[in-house]
Amino acid sequence: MELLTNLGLGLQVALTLDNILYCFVGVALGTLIGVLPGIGPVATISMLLPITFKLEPTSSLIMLAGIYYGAQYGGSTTAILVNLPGEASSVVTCLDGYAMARKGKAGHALAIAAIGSFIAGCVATLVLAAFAPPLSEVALKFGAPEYFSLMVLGLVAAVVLAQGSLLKALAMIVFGILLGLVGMDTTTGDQRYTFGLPELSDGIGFVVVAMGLFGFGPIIANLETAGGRDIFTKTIGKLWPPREELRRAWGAIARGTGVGSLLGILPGGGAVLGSFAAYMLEKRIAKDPSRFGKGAIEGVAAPESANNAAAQTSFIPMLTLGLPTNPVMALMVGAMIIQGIQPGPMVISKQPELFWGIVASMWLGNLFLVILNLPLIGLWVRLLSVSYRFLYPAILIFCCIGIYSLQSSVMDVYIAAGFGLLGYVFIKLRCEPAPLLIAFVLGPMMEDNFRRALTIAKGNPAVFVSRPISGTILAIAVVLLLIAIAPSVRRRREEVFKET
Amino acid sequence: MGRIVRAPGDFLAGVIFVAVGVAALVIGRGYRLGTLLSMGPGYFPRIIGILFTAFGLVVAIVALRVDGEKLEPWRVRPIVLITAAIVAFGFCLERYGLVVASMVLLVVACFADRGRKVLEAIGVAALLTLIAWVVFVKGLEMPLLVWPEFGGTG
Repeated sequence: MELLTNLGLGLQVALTLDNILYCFVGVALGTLIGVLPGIGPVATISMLLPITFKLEPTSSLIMLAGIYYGAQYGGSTTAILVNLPGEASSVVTCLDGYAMARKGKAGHALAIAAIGSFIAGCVATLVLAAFAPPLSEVALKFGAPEYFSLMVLGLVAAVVLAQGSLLKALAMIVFGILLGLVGMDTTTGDQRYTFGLPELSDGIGFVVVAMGLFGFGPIIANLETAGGRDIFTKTIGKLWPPREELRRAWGAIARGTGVGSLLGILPGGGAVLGSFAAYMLEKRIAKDPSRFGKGAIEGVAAPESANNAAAQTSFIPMLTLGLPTNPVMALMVGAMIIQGIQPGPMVISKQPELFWGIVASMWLGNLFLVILNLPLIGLWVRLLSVSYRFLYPAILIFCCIGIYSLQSSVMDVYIAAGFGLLGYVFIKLRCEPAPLLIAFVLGPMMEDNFRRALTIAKGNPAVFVSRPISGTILAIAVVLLLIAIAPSVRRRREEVFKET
Repeated sequence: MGRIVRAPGDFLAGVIFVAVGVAALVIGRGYRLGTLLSMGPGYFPRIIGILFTAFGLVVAIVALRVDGEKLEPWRVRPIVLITAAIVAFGFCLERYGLVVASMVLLVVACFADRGRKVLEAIGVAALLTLIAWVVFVKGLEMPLLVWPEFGGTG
């Protein structure tokens, strides 16, 4: 079995002392930010990126990956105990999780969330290991036109499946591509949109954009509403759920894992959508849907399994096609490029130890997470009492030093402040910043492939449609967009997000 | 604006998009276009600029016709103080070193939150500055100027 040899190689990489340590640090940090509301994985990963540049590429990606899926675990803790989602992907967990906590069954909910996440994580890792290599082989045959079309599809899917106004999300994508144009044109060497500033000739750093939009912007917005968090469930109760609850949870965990794994692979999917969809599914197939919202254990098991599965399978398009499907993956692509690795189908064949090392580390990370989240739950609960009054200044100083240390540039700090303002405006105007960040990372690659495709085709723009694979991909993108615009689907889509 | 604009938030978003799109086109008007076969630096920006302006127009027009959410009030205090704090940090860092820059950033930022006492703000700032120094200068050995004049790096 080739899969087994490969996983063996991965385990060799993941089980070195250094990588075990970085994996542990990653998931512990992930849990921490998952527990703390007001700071998410995007801001945390961008804060830590400057530090990881000094590490081995494999170690740094193992740690960054750990932060992402670790945050999905931690997010459930606050959702269940305080009725506040630490992460967007835990929003639905609040409904039944907090209801269970109020009935004195917080322990059961936490245990099921952890068990579900663990099972989902293990299965999703296998899905990743099984599907990524064949997909990357297909992708190796792709030329410039196919890549361009693929990126168009990725961006379209990102907005179709995302929350909020479709039209604004599309505009945000174009905004992202536009921002990605700033700097020196790689083909001709001309300066574009640099306003004569030498600091801009390498383009705006994606960490700077990410920290501004996802770090500073939300701080400004959060300070408008002085939020107290006194509703606090102190008693956790017994952890291990009674047999009858477990019996009901198994099915939900299995379905959640399936839904999450599938939606994670899709561009624009990822953890948030996975958890929503899994909850909807449980409610729809339940014999008595009225139990939901009042402490149904399936309502905790399914979304928590789904968000963890999706967090892991969303690595598939990133590692095989170089296509980020959510902001965290966009940061990963950026991190890899800075490390000198071109994300894409070559990664698996050229750097098998990197790819399989990350895959194997996910197993390890999931194991750590169960330990961190079940026996040590009390520790995280205590952290819940950290007030945002103290949290946001800490975020600020860490972000500021992090931005400066990227390339010892004060200008980056100023630019990030500007993006913080922009991020705040986006929050006020309900424009999702996620598509912007994905498009910002993809923009330069899109332009490059666009140019090369047309040069190969001797200037004939029909090349994108006439090449069968490229044409098919574009057709899928168009169909997706049309479906999303169709009134009936639009209403359904709004319902899905509203029903929480 | 009253009843003319049905979705003020979306309308404003559309106006911003159009403004940025037009600005991109105007600034980029001098970039050489080239041909489809060999594109100049201006080709892709032109396409993106037009697309963005068009999207902005559609967003704004839809906002005139379809009901949407009202514009929430904007609170000036956190906007100004948080932004000022970050900019002040950038201004001070290479001139006066990490300790001064960090203290300024944190004290100013603390007052973005209402009902903060002066002593509390200074305390929070001092504690976090210490943590930042331990983590970044001692722990990660980042080459940051720590004190003005007599500091040097590290």
